[in-house]
Amino acid sequence: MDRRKFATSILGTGIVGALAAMGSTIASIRAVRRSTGAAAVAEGDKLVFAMGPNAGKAATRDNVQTGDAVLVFPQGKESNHDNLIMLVRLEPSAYEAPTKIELTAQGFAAYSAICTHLACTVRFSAEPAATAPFAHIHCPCHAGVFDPRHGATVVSGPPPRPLPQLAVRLNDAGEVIAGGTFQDPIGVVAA
Amino acid sequence: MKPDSPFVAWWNERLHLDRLYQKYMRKAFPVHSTFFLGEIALFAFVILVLTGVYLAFLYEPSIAEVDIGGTKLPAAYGSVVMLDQIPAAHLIRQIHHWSAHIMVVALVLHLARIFFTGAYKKPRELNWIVGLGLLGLTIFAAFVGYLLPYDQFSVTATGIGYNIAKSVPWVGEYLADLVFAGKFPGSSLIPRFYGYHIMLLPLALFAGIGVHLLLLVKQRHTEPPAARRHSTGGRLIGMPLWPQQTVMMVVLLLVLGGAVTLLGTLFPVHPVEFYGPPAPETPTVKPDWFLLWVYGALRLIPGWMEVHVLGATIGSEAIGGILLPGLVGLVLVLVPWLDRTNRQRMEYLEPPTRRPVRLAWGVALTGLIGVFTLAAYDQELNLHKSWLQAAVLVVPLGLGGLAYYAARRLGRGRGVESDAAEAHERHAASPLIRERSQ
Repeated sequence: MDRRKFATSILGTGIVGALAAMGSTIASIRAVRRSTGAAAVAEGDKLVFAMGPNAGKAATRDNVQTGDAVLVFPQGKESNHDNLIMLVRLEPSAYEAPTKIELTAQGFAAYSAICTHLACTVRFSAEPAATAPFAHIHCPCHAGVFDPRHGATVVSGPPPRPLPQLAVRLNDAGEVIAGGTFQDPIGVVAA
Repeated sequence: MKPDSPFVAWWNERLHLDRLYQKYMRKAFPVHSTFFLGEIALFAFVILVLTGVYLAFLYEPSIAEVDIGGTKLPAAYGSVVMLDQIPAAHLIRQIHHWSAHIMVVALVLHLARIFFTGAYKKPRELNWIVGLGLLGLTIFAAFVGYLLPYDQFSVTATGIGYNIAKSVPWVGEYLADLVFAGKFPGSSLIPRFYGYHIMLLPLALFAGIGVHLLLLVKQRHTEPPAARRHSTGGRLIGMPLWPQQTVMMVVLLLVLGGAVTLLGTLFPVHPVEFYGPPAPETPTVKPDWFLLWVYGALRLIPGWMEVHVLGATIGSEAIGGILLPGLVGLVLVLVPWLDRTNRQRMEYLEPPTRRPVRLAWGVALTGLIGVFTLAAYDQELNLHKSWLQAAVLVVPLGLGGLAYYAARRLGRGRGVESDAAEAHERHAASPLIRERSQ
């Protein structure tokens, strides 16, 4: 090996090494302080209004009317946005498969409020729309529409999956309590 | 100032300014109204940097809770609300926001001008790619800057960006974590985006603009076709940089500065207090105009559409958010190689109608982006989704076909003539051109 070749190979090794070092340095910037937020919703959590004049108060048989829906958080776990729940109340007879009827209670059904398309917060609309001639859940971001009577399946728009359902029950005071955890992944699933 | 004055001599003895003058200050700038688009983008960038430095002094890059008038607010949001109460600061924030819009408009029009006149051809393929990189960096800088006020709108928009990153096949989760500093929206997000917005991206833009201009000086401008008639054998015809072109550039900078000040005064944008701090509910929010087509595509692509490759699932969100813009970007990068017409060294622009195929493709792509942008307003305009989905196929084809037909009819007479002129030039003058421009 002559001197020129030697110098070139040293230079090449140096460049490859420098690039590798740069790569691992960039990979280390993921986050200094990793905020995980509160734990996920679990059995026994009281569901409280996420916003509006009742914010922080428990959702009950009395303050959620049949045919309406509210955004709720499991009490004390508000800092985890994935815990946001759309609590729907319809006539108990309105629900059909694929709604898991055993997870509903006295007309209350709880679905994740995080859209499965790109994780915006979904809304409830009691008014029928062109794409959904019934009370429905829709996403304000990219117009996904879900049917709360049929397990929040996608009626139209881009969401790839239905909104996951959460088990609920009512306690003696008529307050809505989470009856477990979400069985399906919340929001966007990385491919 | 007299060239032999002691003042000029003093500088000249030390810096040899007369040599600089001879080499660069006599550089000719061909004159055409569309040749100012790149300069407008450059001056908008200058205004953005100046106003941005000012804003950085008042902005607080943190989401720690602060008390403002009795309400607990994230510090970033609170600092923008406070900043807006200082009249000068509010105006400068408006100018910053407007200049960003103008920079993107100017870049898109500049890109269209280069495309439709064929200026990307040999030898300027490299500068075409550098220019596309600058457009990408600018859009990324605008997207990142949108988050900084940390109001409900900006958090929603950035959240969608996070989830699009998350939907990238194979590496999505890792990539989203890396770019957005952990799970969205974490406490590291604002400092990270602040770093991107005021350091990484402006530096990258500075470097890219430097390369873009160096290549421009090295390879010289293309000339409007009309200049061919006055050609004196490869010499560029135009205004010298000093003094004529410099005067025009200063005038342009001042007019632009006046325009953004007026716009910021008369049409305030992004009223943070009206949007309010982040809340659990998602507002009805549309992205900035230059991302509306991606947003419209995301609305149009149905949920059942997904592709399975190598164990990964490319869902509707990745098709609309990554695959489609990625494909458009890739096609644009490859344009100099996809265009098989006239592979000779190019010095004179081609009138758009001279190349019916290129015109048709350009018009078709514009039409496609137009339909997707329209889809962003489907609810407001009461447009049915299936109509729009059909329009995605029909409109680009129709417009492209129409453009092709019109260009063939319009360009028939002139095309032949300039082809002949081009051939003549290649034979007679091209050695001269090569000699002078290398």
